[in-house]
Amino acid sequence: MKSDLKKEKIILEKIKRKFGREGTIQRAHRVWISIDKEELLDWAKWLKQEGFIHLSAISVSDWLEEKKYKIAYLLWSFKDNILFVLTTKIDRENPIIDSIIPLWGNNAQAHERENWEFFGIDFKGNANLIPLFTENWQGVPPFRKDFNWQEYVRDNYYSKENKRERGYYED
Amino acid sequence: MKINQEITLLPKNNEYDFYFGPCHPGSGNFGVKIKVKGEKIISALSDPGYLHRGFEKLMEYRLPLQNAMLSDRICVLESLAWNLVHAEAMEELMDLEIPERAKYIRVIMAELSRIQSHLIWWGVFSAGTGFDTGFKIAFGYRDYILDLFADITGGRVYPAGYICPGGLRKDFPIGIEEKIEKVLDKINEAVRYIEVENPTFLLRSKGIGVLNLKDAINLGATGPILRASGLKADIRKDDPYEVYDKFDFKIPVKEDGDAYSRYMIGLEEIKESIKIVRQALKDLPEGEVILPKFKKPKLNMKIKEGEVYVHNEIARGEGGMHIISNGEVKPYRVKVRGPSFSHMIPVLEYLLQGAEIADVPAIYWSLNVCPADLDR
Repeated sequence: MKSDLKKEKIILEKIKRKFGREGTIQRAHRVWISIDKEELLDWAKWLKQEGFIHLSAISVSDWLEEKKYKIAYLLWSFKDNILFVLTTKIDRENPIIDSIIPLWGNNAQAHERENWEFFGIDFKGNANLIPLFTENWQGVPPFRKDFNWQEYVRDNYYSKENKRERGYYED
Repeated sequence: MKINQEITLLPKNNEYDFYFGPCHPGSGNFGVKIKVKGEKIISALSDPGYLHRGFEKLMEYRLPLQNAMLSDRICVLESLAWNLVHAEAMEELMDLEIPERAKYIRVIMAELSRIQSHLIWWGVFSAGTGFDTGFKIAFGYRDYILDLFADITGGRVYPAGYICPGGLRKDFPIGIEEKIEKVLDKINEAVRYIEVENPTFLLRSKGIGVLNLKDAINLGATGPILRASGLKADIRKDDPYEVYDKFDFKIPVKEDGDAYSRYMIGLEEIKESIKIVRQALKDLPEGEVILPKFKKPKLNMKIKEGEVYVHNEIARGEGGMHIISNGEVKPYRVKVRGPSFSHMIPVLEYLLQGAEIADVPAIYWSLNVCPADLDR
């Protein structure tokens, strides 16, 4: 689809003036930018004022070698029809980041709860971090790369003595 | 002895804890813990997780073609729509331009999927509010579409990765176009039934569960729920994918934001979807439906490094996938954004507060929920 990317360029120009940073236009309707974790609330507040009022999701990925978590806030503007992806990296061993509840209320609360449960990220300011999906989960947060689910399932749900399940132990 | 005492003791302040679901026939695999005083709900807490299968993690261990099959299962009620989201995301990662005919067939399948999903919506909404005939009509007519799916994809409910990265696994069977036209006539018949306003249905849905526009946006509502609150937003128009920009269709919007207007949006959307399918059938081009590279795909095909977020307007709202690839054959991370996540946690909790117990099913089903895409 051909597009002149006019709206995307305007938003990047505004960002350059306000924060002095360069973002990238991936394609029409997609703008990506990475920031430091301390700046998160300032950026989120400004973006919300600029029309990015819909918090679509918070997506976390685990980078073992870098020892970082990359958090992507997916924000959509109904006015400009642009998806703004705000990414930031935080330390994997001590994963703390400010909560965006002051801006997106209960919607942010639910998304943060999910990521707290799956990655163990502590969202500072979110007082109600309780599990959504798992029950009495004790081990490593399950979506981290160092959680080996195959091993976990084998050890907890299969038996070496059982003739039909023995195969799971062999590879 | 102790148990007896507890039973006879009245709770303080006349407050009771009440559980809606997870084994309630109308709730799906999902529960809401409700605190009530008399008939009024003081607070509600969503309790998901009964259907959590960990798709996001599973996909990190599988090849794109296997993931196409897995993506069906994200939501039982509209598996083709999720097939499409996954395929589009992989294609964007791999920089593929799929054949024109495949794009048209994808739109037809996505819209048929929307129609059958909206019929389920009306069906369970009717059943939940005590209008059983509605349930039977909806599920009866939905079956015509499932038969089409069986003819085209081989599966009634799960298409087994029919829409796969690179195009479609199979072309339309011979003569299916006339069959689709006939089914659309049947659906029109169903629409006429739905338009007959049943007094019970009206009483139980009008003015119930009102969500104003500001709250709807803040709580992350999308799709028909957001449009029923008064915002004209539809990803098919706002961030067009496939060939949606070539078709002429309207986006229904209502102002009231109550359970009734939410469903009326669903009804209008069925009519619009019929229009889209008819246009697509008329303009359906000839040609291949899959890129040659994917006809017999190599299993060690590497995905280009990068990350994309693709979202589609599926029947429930915004269905999206954020996929990261580090240049291997399997995706590094897949994040699934299900529309029901926001509808069933923040929106539902908010709407239930202050409502009456008897209105719980009406509010719950008016949100067009699917516990499967919430839990993933």
